[in-house]
Amino acid sequence: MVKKMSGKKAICINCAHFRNSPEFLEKTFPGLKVMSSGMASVRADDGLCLKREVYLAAYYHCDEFEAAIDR
Amino acid sequence: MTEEKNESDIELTPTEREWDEEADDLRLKSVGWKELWLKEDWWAIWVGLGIVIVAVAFFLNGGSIKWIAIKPAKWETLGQAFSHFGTHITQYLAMFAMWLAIFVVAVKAMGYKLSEYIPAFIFVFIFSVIIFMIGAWDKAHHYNLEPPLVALVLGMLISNLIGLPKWMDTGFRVEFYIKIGIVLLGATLPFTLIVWAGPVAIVQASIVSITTFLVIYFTAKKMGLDRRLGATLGAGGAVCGVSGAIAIAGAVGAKKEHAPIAITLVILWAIVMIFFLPLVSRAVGLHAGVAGAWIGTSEFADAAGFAAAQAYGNLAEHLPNIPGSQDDSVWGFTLMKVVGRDIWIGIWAFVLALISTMKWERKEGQKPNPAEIWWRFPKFVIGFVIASIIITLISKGYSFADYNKMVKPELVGPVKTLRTWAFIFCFFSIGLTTRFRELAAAGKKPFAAFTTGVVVNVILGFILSAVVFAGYWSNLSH
Repeated sequence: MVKKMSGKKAICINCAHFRNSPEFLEKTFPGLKVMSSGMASVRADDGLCLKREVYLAAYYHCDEFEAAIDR
Repeated sequence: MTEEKNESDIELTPTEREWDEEADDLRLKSVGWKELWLKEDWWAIWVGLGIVIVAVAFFLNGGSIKWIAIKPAKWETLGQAFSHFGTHITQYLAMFAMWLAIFVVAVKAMGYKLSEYIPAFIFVFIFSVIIFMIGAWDKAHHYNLEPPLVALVLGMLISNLIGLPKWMDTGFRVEFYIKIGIVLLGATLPFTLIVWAGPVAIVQASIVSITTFLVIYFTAKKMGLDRRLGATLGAGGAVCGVSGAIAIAGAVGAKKEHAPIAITLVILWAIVMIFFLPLVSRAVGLHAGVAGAWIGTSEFADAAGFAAAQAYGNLAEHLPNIPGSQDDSVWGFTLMKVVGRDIWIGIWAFVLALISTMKWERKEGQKPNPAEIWWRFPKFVIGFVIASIIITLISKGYSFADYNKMVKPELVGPVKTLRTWAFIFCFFSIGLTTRFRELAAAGKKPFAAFTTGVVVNVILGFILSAVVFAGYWSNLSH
């Protein structure tokens, strides 16, 4: 069951540890832009969890969720 | 390959550390339908279909865009080459302005800095003119100076021996250029061919993809590698290269270092295959359509595959012992790779996400979302199909003779020329962004697992393309 915190689902896309900007991923994964792109549809909203150091889909969740502060 | 990484030694690189302080900029909310102006796939559709629609509008009004779709003429002496360029300089400048105007709108919308993109694209364009000119030399094919290969090698020499400032990468958008090229390719590929040969491509590609994936995955598992790494490697080798690897890495929740390992192996083998597949095809005198299908089955990335298919197609146009045409090679490749493999990535991702969350790391409430089949779908394929339908409908009213007399030179031909330019931008960019020193270390076991899959893939792909389904692939033009 996905919890809700502050009206938002406790999933990776709303987590403070999640990074998924295309520019960041292209810098983090060497070679990504040689034959693919951080801007490609196949990537959807996937990103890197800096806490658990895994690359995963934005709709996943775990017990270490921390709500991100939106500007 | 260098030593295996110790999977527990993970540190934030300096780039990640400083970026951590700007966390909010690096965490995008769900893109959703904003991808219509934020993702390269959609911009490939807007640009590609935009060009096709403008070309059609001119054609239906008795005109043509061929004035601006200029390309180097065949030359024997340097004097002829310079004379052509001097005579047509206004057209080259107009075409450059057209491309720049289009790309500036697209990259600005996607969030790139124009101060970086514009000078980088000027660099790409100037060298693309030189590369295209080399390809127009009447002895080019004798020395194997096919534009895709020249572009790739020149780019790699520049990036690895001389080096360019990193900011110029903003202009070296490989995937953006190849996707535009593929949409434009749709305009030169009859829809009836997609309908006729598409099912064969899907069957052949499925056999090879599933076999290759299982070989890589179970070899990796037998070697004691993480299942998620095995799946990421498998997708890279079997489905659609780096894009496949990154999609599956996300779907299965791979460790941070898994994707870079797969990316390195895909890039290295994709570059090898750009040269190997056309070389072997030429040695055995494969029909261009058969070679295109083989390349579509056994190349890993669209961009690399088009380089190989276009190079072999050029040879078929100029060498009498290679049957078929450039169209056969490129069509064969496109049907196999785009229709047979690329479009299924969403399904691969969903299935592997299911397996990952329900079997490998079972977690209560962790359920893959079937919507990702759509969100991960390579949208540029929609543009490719629409472009094909548009031109097929227009061509319907013409006899074969009138098609060759009017439609081909005034409509399809100029679109094909612009497609070739987009491909050269792409191939040169591959070379410029392939900096071997920067690629992640892959390790012996992942290399062995991936390579096992490569061998099976190449052999099985050859058997299916050149033997089992050869009748289809050698008759595409008919």
